[in-house]
Amino acid sequence: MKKSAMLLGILLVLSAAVYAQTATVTEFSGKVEYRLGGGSWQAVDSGLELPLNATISTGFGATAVLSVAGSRIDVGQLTRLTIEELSESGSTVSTGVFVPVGRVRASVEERTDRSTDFRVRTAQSTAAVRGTEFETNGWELSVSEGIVEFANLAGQSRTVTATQVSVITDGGPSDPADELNNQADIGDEGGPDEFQNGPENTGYITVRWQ
Amino acid sequence: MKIVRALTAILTLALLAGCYFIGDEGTATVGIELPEPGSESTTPGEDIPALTRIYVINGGSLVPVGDGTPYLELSSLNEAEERITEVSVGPVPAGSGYEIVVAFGNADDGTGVFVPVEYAMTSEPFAVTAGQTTTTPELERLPSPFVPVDRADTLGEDLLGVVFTGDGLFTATTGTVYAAPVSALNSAIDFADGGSPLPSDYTANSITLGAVRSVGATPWLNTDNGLLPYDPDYTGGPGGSGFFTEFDNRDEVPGYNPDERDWNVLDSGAFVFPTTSDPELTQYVGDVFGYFQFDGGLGGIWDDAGTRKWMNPADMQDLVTGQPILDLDVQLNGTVQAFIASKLGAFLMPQTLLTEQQTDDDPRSAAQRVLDESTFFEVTIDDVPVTITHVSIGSEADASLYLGTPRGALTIPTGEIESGEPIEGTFVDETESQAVVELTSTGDTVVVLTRHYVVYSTNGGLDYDREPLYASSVGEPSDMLVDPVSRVILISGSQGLVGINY
Repeated sequence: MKKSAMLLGILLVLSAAVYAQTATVTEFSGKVEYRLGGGSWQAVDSGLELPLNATISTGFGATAVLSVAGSRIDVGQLTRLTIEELSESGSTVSTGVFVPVGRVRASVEERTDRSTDFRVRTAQSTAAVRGTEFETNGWELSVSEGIVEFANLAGQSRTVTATQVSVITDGGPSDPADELNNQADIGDEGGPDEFQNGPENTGYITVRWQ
Repeated sequence: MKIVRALTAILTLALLAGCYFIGDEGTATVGIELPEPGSESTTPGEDIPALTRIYVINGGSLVPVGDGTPYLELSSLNEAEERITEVSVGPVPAGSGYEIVVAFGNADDGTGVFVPVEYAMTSEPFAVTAGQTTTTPELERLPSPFVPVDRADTLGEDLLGVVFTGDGLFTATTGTVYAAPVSALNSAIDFADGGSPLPSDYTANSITLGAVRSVGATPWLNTDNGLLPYDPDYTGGPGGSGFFTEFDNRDEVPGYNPDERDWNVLDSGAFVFPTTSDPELTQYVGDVFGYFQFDGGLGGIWDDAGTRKWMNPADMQDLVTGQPILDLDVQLNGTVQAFIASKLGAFLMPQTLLTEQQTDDDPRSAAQRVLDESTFFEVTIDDVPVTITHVSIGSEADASLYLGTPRGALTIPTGEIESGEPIEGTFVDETESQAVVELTSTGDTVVVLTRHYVVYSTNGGLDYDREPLYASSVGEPSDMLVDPVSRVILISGSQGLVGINY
């Protein structure tokens, strides 16, 4: 009896320590498929629950929304996403996805009763978040809300806050404070507004756009 | 042997007819990465691409308007951090036929490649008057329809071409081949990271669709050291790689002296003989028939149960330089005939050449017989003969032939070919003055790739749409792959691989 109770207690502890969740497809449009492990591709449906190691793939113009542990993942077109971690222990909700190609936007629920460990891994980087909203394609991370730790494969990381952007460079994630300036100092200014001293038989073109 | 040679000719020509198309194996859409969303904006919540590039096109050429570049590049924002919406370029030569493409995007942080996310362009050509400034109407800014394919591996790479074997997508630079295992182009394409470098003594000139008897369809890298098939699952190559370096075993070439030849292969193609019920042909099922082209010459290969037989090459070095055959298409429905664009001119191979055996008492070589019995035809634009570089048979209903030339894409009625008279071509809409890079047609789908645009029709040529390549990151285009089922076009170029859903 005592051994049974002990065994039961052990099982209860283990189940509380690692409670496997699923990611649910709440919305989708266009051609969206999934497969389990190395199985064959199948079409998704609303309400489909994807377990650990499932991969979802979107086609041209297709999108999908996944819900996991109260957080939301918007999967962009032409994106492949594999669920690497889904667990909820007594104190931490852990979610990990791998995105080798494409783009995702994640809105991570900030919980007061437990901490959130949400990671998006790509071929170039890992973004780890705590109660925030961000978007990444692996090279560039833009944060809409909250705080995101953005790291390259060498483990060099930066903390990126709301409205900031960081990109992966050879030296690691760039300083968000520099990113606003990096792409501004480029190019030539436009030509003269009026025709001035051009060669004979030449003219100018003024190009206008929205 | 003559039977085999004739058979090789037929099947090789049939192979080439399918070179640029994906088989209808349920392909749907191509999976490619999203472009960068645009630069960070000074206005919270608004993403504005950091860079604006303006391209001025006239007569099929870019008119230089930048400082050392063929485009004008500037920041998308002025000093007040407001979006710039008007720029003057010039001076440019006075004249008609001007077109403008404006691309808005960002420089990729790793490669520096400009990746457009939006674009605008003029809808009609306009004229520039000497001594005056011509103002365009306000151009509509649209999202770029192009998306880079696996930018992590291909963005910034000078890609020679793109090939689909039915279970894999392949592209290559001169020194690396990239492979993505896909059975249908309906999801994101993810090439194996970094690609596979070619063996050290091989430099690729191009990549084409070939076959290996033990594997099936495989890409063939045409290199300066012969043919080099590749299969990612093969481990018998140098260092356990997937390269079939023993493929062009020169010892098997009958009557061929490798010391007198240069095995610099420029182009090739091959296929596996399909299952057939014809008792005379069943012996060839599973064999590989192929061809290759070198400078001024054309050779063939027949892989029979692992023994490769290399045909005596047709040496035309006294007549042509480079690859003799530029393009061809074979009509197999009803009358069997082949249309060929070559350095010697464009000609029609009649059915008799393709279906009847050369008699044993005919002293002519196979190549001479082809030249003697084919019908050469001349095509003109405004009564001026034009060089034909690409051919593609149009729909059966309109009995036309699509032709690519350095001056644009044309159509001609196939019924006029055997008249012996020059045939005045009709321009394919939106292609006049544009040198054709690739051209293909199947059913009602016609796609023309030029230096500046991809032009397409889905109703058999009644209407055409076009998109400027400057709205993409592809650079100078090299090759095109069209899937009319999923309506996807893949374009390889000097700066990577892009896709468009048309």
